[in-house]
Amino acid sequence: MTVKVVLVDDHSVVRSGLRRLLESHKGIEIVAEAETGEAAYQVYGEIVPDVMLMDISMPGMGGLEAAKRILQRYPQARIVIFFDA
Amino acid sequence: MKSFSLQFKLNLIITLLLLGLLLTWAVSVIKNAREDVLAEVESTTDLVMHLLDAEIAHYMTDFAWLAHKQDGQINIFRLEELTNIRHLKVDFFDMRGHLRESNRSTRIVHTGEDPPKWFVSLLDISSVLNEPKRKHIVLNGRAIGELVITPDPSFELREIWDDTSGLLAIVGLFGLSVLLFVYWTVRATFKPVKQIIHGLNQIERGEYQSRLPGFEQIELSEISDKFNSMASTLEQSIRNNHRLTQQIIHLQEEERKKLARDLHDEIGQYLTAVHVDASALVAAKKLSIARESAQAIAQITRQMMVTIQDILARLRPRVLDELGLSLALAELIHHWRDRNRGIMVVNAISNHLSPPDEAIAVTVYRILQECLTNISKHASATRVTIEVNETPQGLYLMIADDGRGFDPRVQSRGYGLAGMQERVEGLMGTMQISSALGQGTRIEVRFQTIQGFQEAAK
Repeated sequence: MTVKVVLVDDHSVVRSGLRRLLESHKGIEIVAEAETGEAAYQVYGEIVPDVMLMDISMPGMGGLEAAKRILQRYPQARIVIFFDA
Repeated sequence: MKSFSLQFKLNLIITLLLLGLLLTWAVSVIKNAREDVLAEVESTTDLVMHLLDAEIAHYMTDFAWLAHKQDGQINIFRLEELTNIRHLKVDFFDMRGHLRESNRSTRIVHTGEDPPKWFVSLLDISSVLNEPKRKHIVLNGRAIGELVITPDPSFELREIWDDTSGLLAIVGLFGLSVLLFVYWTVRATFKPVKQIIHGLNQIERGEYQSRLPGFEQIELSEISDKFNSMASTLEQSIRNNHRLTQQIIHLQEEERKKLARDLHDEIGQYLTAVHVDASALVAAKKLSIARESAQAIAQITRQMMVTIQDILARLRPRVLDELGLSLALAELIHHWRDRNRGIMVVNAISNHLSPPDEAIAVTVYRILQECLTNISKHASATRVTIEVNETPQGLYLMIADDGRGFDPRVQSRGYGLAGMQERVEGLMGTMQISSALGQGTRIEVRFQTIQGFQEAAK
């Protein structure tokens, strides 16, 4: 059984790094990427991943706000929020 | 005298002058009085002598007087009758030295108070007049006695004292009132001086809202006007100073915010990516995956180097220190041209620019940097003309483009240009922005040298 993960970060270098890191683990599958909080909300509804990995600071709706909205709509959602340097 | 106030000095000088005048006057009055007394006493003495001589001559021809006896005594001169000779004591002594006749008892003796001793001694008459005049009387070849005439100036002295003391009192009163008037006038005149000093003290304490009232005296009212305009200029410039300080703090904060944003946005993401890739590298079980991560790290760090160079160049253009202004500007234009290949750049930059002030060099560099950034971001220009030259009169910078331009009234307060304008003005330079919608933009900056200022002033 694999864990379906969605990556959300506005920087592509970070996303591709995370993808390489996570894909080296068996049992983790990156099913989608999003660049903004708004996109993350939409993608969550479409895919309903097991885990959403989200950068806290993004242009527009930030990671925190996006996470709140997703949890309101899908209370069972599991979201990991991270800070970059 | 230095430690005394002008007010005191003026009062002192006027008082001394007045006293000197009074003293001179008094001396001359006394001198005249003395001469008067002497002359009067002298002439009366002479007159009495003549009269008595005439009397003697009369007796020598007419002997009727021998029958005229009084108490067995012969009154030759009838001195008792000389009642109105006020200034003289006339005595007749016989050969045995007995007083035979005198006007002492009948002489008018004045009543009332005597002149004060100091006045008498000041006149110094006694030494001259104390000597009595003596005359031996000889009748028919026989000496019968001696006539002694002693001057007595007390009557005259009294008269003079009466006159002079009255005059002295009047003049003294006049002098006193003049002095009081002078004191009052000087005091009133110096009142504004106190107010001016008070105002200056307030300014010294930093109370720049201090103002002087208008004074009646023209010179003082001019001082008051100048003081007030100086105080308001000072107040204004202090206020400007506060405003500028606030502006500097604000600009500094803006710079820091911008730097923090740059570091976060441009470096933060790369560091995160490197960190993630390094972790992937550590966890990698296949060489191909490890290589991918290593490649990514190499690529990201390369980009970080470029980004950091950009940030450093914005913070402090190192080329300026290393190459000098001319080459630094050429370098700046060269790089900009690389990134904006569609825009034609015509530049005329003097080879050996060396502004006297390093701050001017930095400012010229920054203005060109800012203008080129603005052109590439907003202008949609096809052609840019840059001119920088330096003469003994000053330094001139011009950047013109044929882009879409803007309305300077609306946009000149934009952060970039307004900040530049303040920098230029802070260095005593001028910055002129001419632009209109669809007309391109032309920016001219001038920094005059001292020589330039002097020539412009001619």
